[in-house]
Amino acid sequence: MNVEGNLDDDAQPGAESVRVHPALRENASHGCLDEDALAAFVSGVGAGRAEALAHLTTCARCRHAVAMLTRLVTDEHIASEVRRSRAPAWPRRVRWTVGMAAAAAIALLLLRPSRTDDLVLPGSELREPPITVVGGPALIAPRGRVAAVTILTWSHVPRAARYRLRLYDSVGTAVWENETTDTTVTVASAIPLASGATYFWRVEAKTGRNRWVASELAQFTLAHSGP
Amino acid sequence: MEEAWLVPLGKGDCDKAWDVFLSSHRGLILATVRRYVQDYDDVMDVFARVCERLRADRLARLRRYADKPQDTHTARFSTWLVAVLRNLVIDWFRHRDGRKQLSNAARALPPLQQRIYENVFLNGRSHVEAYELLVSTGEHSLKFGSFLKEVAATYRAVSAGRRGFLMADLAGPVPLAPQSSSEHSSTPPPDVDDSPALVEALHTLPPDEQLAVQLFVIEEMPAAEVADLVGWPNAKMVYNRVSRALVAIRGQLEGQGLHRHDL
Repeated sequence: MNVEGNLDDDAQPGAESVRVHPALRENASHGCLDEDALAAFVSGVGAGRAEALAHLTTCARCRHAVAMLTRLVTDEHIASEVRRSRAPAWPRRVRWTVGMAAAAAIALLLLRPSRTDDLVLPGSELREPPITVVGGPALIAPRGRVAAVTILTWSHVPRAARYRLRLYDSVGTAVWENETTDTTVTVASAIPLASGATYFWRVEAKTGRNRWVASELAQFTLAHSGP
Repeated sequence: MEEAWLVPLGKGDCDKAWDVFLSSHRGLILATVRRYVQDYDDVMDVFARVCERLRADRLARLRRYADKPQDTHTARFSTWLVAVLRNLVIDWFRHRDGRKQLSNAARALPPLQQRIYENVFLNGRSHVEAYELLVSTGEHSLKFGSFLKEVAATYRAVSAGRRGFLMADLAGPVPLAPQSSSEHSSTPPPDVDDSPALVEALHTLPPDEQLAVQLFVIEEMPAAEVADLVGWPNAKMVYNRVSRALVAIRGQLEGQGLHRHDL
């Protein structure tokens, strides 16, 4: 577990300051979680998780820090910016290349025959499936050629706390992302879907902490409007 | 995904690294700052200060992350960055505008809570110190248990305002409820702010249950977030196990002659 080195390394000498509350000073040199360890705990990862948990039961300062950091990272606007910052800003040429490669991969996946029977192990048909094999949502509609798209619908996934939907255009650029607890979502009117264009969409279901199961990638094409 | 700014930083090009970092994370920095303050001028002031601190000493803060071997990072960079930003924002208010901001927040409080606020929040005194000061000056003649209830009410009042999030973070942890011996005595516990019997009872629980009780009851976090943090599957388990833990704690306290009305 990491130890915070200096809590007041940003102190401004001579500036009028508010004294740090004793609860915030306590344990500063007794194994308090540093920024890395705090972030790891809030992310639900880290080898020293048991140690961190034990420390948090006795350190009000670190517990408060965990609570406040959790409130920050689950804030809607901050979470949205995190997702945006993770999206790679590739040059146009790279985007086209990757988009075409993605389209080829998608076509291969869609054409690949289902071989789930290969996965049945001897005797496993008598057991309850383990949690780790919960399948992703099945995308119900829209698929194929459609006249219009107002609602996207998929199947329920057991234990799913929420679903994240991503809509891609024909070159693999994400054009819309949404999270919901329902199994349908209305396409925002602000998303301009071009008639005649092909789109792909995928839904991920959150089944546990940092555990998402994804659907297959489905395709739909908006029919040309007008005569 | 590897952070793109690490590449120029690795080559010693701090200016380029900063440009790449800022273009990728400007939105996240601003969103974090806006969680604390909403006025445009405040947002830009804090944003500038945060950027200044991140960029100081040839990106020393970012180097703390960069210098760790990549395979030893256990958290996402974005979560780490938010943790760093939180510290920088809180430091900014604590060391520069803290007194002014906190004073504004205290104006609407009743007189006793204003005095508690001044001692605990502004001057950083422990609850025991603040109590001793209030009693010794003859301003108030309340019992220590009643005083702690006023402290808790002060925390709640300060956290409920427009800048509640900032105030809640600046205020620090909320004290546990007082115990009966303190409630009816003018002598506070010698060296701790929280009720020893309650803390002792809490520590008999398994660590994950202790933390769940502390986060759910004291920090008032949503059950789903508590479940995520302690590694339980869902919010329902938080409700069930916290409820059972509280019953167990109550049983222990009653075994010591302390009852619900005493707390």
